[in-house]
Amino acid sequence: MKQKYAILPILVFALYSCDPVEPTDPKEEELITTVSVELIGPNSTAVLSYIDLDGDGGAAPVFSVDSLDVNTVYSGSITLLNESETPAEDITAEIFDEADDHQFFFTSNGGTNYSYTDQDNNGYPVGLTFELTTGDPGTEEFTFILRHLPAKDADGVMDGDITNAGGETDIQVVFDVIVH
Amino acid sequence: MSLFTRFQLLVLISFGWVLTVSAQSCVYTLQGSVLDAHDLQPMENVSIFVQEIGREVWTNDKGQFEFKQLCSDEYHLVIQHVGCPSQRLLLSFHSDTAVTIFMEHHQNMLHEVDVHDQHDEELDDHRLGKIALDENGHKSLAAAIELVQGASMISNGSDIGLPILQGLSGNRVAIVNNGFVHMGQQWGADHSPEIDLNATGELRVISGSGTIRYPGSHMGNLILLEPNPIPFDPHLHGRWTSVLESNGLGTTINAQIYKGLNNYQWRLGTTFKKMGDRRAPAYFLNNTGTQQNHLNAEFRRQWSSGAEWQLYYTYFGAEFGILRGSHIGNLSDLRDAFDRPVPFYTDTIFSYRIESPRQSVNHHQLKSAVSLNLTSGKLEWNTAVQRNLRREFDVRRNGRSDQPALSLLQYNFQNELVWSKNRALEMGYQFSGKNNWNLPETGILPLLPNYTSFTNGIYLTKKHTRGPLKLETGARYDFQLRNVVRLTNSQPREVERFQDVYHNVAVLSRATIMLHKKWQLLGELAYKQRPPEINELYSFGLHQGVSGIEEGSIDLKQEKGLKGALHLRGLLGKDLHVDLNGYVHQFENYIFLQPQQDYRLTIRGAFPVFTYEQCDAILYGSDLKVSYMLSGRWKLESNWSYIYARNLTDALPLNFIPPLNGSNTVHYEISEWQNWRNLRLSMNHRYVAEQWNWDPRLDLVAPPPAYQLLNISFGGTFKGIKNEPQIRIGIENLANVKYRDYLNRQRYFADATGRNLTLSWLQHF
Repeated sequence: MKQKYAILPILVFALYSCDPVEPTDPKEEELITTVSVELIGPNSTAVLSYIDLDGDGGAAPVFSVDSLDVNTVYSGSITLLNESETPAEDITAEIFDEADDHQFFFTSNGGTNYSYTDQDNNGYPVGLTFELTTGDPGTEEFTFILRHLPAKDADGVMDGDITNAGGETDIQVVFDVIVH
Repeated sequence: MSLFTRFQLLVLISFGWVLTVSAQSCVYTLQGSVLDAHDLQPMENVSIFVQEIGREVWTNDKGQFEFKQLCSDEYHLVIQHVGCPSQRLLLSFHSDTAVTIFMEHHQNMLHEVDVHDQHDEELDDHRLGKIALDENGHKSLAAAIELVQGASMISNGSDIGLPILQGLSGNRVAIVNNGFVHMGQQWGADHSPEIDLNATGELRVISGSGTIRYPGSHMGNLILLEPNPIPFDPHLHGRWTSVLESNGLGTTINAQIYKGLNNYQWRLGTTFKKMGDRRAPAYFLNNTGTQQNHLNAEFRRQWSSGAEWQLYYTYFGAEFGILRGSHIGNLSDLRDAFDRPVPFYTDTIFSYRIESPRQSVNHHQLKSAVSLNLTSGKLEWNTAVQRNLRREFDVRRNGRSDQPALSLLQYNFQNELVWSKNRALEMGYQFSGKNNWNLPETGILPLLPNYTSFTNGIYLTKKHTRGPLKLETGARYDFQLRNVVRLTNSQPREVERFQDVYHNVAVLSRATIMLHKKWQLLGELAYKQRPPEINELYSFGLHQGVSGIEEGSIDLKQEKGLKGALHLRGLLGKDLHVDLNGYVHQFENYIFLQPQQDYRLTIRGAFPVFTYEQCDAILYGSDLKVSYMLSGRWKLESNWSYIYARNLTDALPLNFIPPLNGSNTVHYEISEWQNWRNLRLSMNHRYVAEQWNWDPRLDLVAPPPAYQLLNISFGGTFKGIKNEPQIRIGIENLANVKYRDYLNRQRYFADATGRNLTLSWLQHF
């Protein structure tokens, strides 16, 4: 009996010459490489910055931290950039557009205090701008955390307490700051 | 009766051919007898129902039955017995007829001990038959396989899971679906095999020379899934299964239709599954829904020469939600999540919505199998193409949650030529080609590189019987070539290329001996190698599956394993079956994911880092099963497994090894009660110990404490209405116990699911 198996797919050993698909640069628009905090005081301006151009892994991040004056009120603002792209992409605007879904939290292990000076559409703080009041002289660790989708209405979150906030951490940076 | 004739008879009956003698209309008699397919003993109390005339008779103590005054016509017979899958038979009736029916008895008892003088089944073959699969068709493959002795699963939530066989999972276990190794993205601990159990007629976990036949990186046992044969019947028939579940308010519906003619048969089937948020005893597990679709189509054609051709297509598509509260940022988020009594984002509102984090997968398999009976033996030519797309979505900023964070596409082609003689000698050549790449839609540096991989393999197995001794040997060799290309993680991005070449050898031998009439002993020794997989060599980046940064290392060498196993089974007295096995699996260059002591500082804070490393390792394990026939109606069954695994290089335990676990079941069976047939009540108690073989350097959180679950199920065939549905009610986690399972990744964040009531309905038409 004649049998027809002709419809069977036949792939040949030519597959051997088949190279893998060339990878394309993924254009990491979401990456944040740079956190820059500008603090404007009555007598001086200080900048705290964190830069990690190659993202997770690779080269270690670079910190640059100015010192602050004692018992001084600074008005702070945060700029976020993706500098792996040219020109650098401004992530601050993205956070501003999604202000309802984001909040910064500030802590210090010394005498420095923080208060929010901005609000989202629902009247909850965001933290892109804030006020910072230094205390007595010393070296302090300032921790800046940006949370995505926190529970802004949870207990204490509005006042900057992160305990009940939840959400994912988009940024967590610690600056060693000298207050003198 | 010799084995050969018995086999032939089984085939005859499954195609419904009967012996006929001549006579005339509406005066015919049908006589028959029903025998156990295994020991050929007559079976009493089997129900034989003739659909066309609505009459039912029962077999007597000699297994015989009789229908009188039948007309010259076609009749459908339904044959049912407690503990057997019901059989259907078409009789073309033009004379007095005699028929012998063989029943697959005790399929529900999973791998029932069957010791016979003439034994044609593998001793070490553990099966889930049609009844067990029907009862578990709404579950994932990994969840169902937990019913097999020595098997467990590693999972992420309810529907995502990978099987573990004697301590091995992922790259070390192959799943052979319908003759071909299932190719997907099985490297992730949270990547489920894309397989729907409803299309499966039988699931087997095999060891021995059967494992040599299949290519792949399996180091121990493997899983075989086969569809049921299509019964001979020129009318269109089918079956309908639907399962409702209370936890997740979900449903699973499966429909199959088929037609079986003399020289060709076909079958079409589809499954639809939808589940909403599951519930732990104390709260909802938000975003744990599932939506799943499946399609299978099969065509078989036979020729009088004995040649056969099968064409098979299957599609699987699914969306799996992942617990919203398990999506975390850095290490401090993770620590916060561990300490919370109720996970973040827990809502009081039930929903079917599946949002990020989620997985979206689909898989196609197209297979063609040709077999020819030659004078020199049987020749098979099989080919298959598979396409696998896996996309994973994370919670992202600025509307990017709809853009996958991982998007991998794989094409795979397998081709094999197999020659076998009398099921004793078998050899084959296999080729497998794979192309796997990242779709450039993620906006994230990919975790895995793009690669192609080509494998040529040859194997030979031989079986041979001498008196009470059965010997099996096998060997295979695979040559693998892999081309890899990736982007560097430094700025500016550069392209890096690698080429890997591997020679893999596997050899196996085993002996089975009949000790006394009622006992069998098996000894096996197997040496296998596998190349390091692509994720183990090249992965780099944040992997949600491990909650950290995962780094491959390109220096990894081949993994080598030597396994020795002893398996004893038999009958104590008349009613006590014992099945005990023990094994030692020794590894050189065992590849594992080692958490590093230092954390990686990123802009999102510190992350735990996991690196693939190698060590010498040893796994000791034992599985015990005891079952006791208390009476014709009562049956007790107990199953226990334990594995001890150790990293010998660093004198540490190995991670994610199943803890001691056991299960005790009582079955009570009634063959007839009013309008009901084959009623069966099962009460099951499951115990899972704490994993005490553990080290704080290996995990972020200590293993959860031991837990115990009660499960109950009750069902039977209802003859009160047309089509006689099999109805079954089950309750899982009856006491609504709050627990966490060591091998479920969701345990870091939330309790496991609570009580689940299932109602299932199965009917043939």
